[in-house]
Amino acid sequence: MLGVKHEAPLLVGVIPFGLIFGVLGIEAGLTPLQIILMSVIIFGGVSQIIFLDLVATGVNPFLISSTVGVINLRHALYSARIAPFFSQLSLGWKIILSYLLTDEAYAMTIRRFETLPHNAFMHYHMLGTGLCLWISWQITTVLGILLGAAIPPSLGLGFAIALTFMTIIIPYCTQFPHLIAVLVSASIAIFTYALPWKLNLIIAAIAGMLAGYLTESLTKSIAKNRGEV
Amino acid sequence: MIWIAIIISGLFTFLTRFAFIGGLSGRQLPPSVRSLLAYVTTAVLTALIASDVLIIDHQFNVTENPQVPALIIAGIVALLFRNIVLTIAVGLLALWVSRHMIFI
Repeated sequence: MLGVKHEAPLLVGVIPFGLIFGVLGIEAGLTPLQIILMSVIIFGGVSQIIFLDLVATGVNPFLISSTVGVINLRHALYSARIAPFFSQLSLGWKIILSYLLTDEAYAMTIRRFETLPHNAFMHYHMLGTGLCLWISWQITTVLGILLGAAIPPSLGLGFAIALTFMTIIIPYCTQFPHLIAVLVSASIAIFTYALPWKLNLIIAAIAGMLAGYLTESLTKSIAKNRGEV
Repeated sequence: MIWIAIIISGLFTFLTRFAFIGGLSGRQLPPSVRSLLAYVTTAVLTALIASDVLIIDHQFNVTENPQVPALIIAGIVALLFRNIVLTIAVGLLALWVSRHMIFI
């Protein structure tokens, strides 16, 4: 129950997202059932909006799935860091908690696990957090679907998706390596646009990640050298 | 076709989340992989924005593209207010204005 209480501030961020996803889903031409089950099956905010973006541009299902898979690879980080706290749990618990492992649930849970002394019931906190997010996500998806059906179509679907993505990356852009990742990814995406199967997206994403990583390593080693001199 | 994509995407996502909790417990990712994954969101979303907004009819176009001023205005709003609903509202309004008043 405490997990639910701790989650409340984070819901402020989740609610508009769920609504936007529901609206965009309808605008992209998916059926309400497809939209609702996507929220249940994938349960990952940004990746679901990417899904819609690719459906709208007419990409094949395998490319859609691999792009969704790539963006959600960051969850492997969370899984690795949180795993030691769950090592004693049964397989059923592990499956449920893995399914509920989103950005928000992770952020909440890992802070608690790493600051408080360990006890045998800590995983209930994550269950509370995760379920609260899950229910909010499903309800706001349905509300978004209803809202989307009421809004006239073609108010600029593609652009609304781009704006959503931009709100997510803007806070990172104040960090230099992320800014480099943005510039490289955008340039490569445009230069390789003519490639078939939207391959430009994957190539640009990999190039952007490498650029960010290399910039980070480089700035770190420069800072280190300065420190030694 | 959409169902196939939903199910495979869901499976990928679940397996990523389950990987260490379920099987590789106690093992950690090497630091280089960790740093690399920190840039996934930025890199993927930027690639999508660039190909959605800066390309019109398969051509790179920023000079006769009403979306560009709208994106810049919305970007400033996003930076200042960090509010997703406000950013989308301002961005769509700016797109409408720039479509009807600047690029006729």
